[in-house]
Amino acid sequence: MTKAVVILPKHKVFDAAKMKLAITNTLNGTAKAISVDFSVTTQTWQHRPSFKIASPSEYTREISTDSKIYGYVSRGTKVRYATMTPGFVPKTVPFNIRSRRGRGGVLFVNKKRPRPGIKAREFDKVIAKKWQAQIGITFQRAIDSVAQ
Amino acid sequence: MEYIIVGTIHTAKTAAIEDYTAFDRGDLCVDIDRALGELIERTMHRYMPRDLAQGVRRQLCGDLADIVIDYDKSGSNPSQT
Repeated sequence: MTKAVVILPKHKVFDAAKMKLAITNTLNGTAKAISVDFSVTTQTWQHRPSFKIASPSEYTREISTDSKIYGYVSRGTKVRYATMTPGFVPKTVPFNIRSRRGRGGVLFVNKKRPRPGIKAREFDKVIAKKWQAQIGITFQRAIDSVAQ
Repeated sequence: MEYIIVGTIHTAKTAAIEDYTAFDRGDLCVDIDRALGELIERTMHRYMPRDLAQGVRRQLCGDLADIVIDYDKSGSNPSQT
């Protein structure tokens, strides 16, 4: 005859309402921290773009900007119509979450004279890479903290 | 006004993340099912051997995230049952 032993935990493992709150709080906190990283990439810009956090669904957060210039700098362009001043040093460099002082600026814009495009800084990719490495640990810690 | 999406954080079940093909640059994914599974396994291991605790986790995997996500809809706390 087989004897079955029922093993039951003494308390419920987690409270779903508290767990839900912990997940959304962590989601909001992480989205805010990520938007700070995006702001860091424009710290020395004269016209700083703003970053907005939206919730397309309860468990999703979207970080966006309405700055087309940020898009050109981050994603790069095929051509560039602006001619820069001699000795121009850009404020940002590819794959780097920072913004330095730089030097010079736009001398003139001539659409008839296309030049090699803007080198993509890939801010979104490098910020995503940084956070993807941390986000699992952050959420696990938040979820564990709800355990009874 | 047109917005450029620079990053999205997705939290979902393991299967949803595995099946989702529309991830774009700057997208982050958090597997809630996996994180809850870790918690379940660790908690159960206090009461039973590791392999049994892993079995419990495997049985519940796929439902754990639903317990939290559907909490409001059900009006009860399914984790008590």
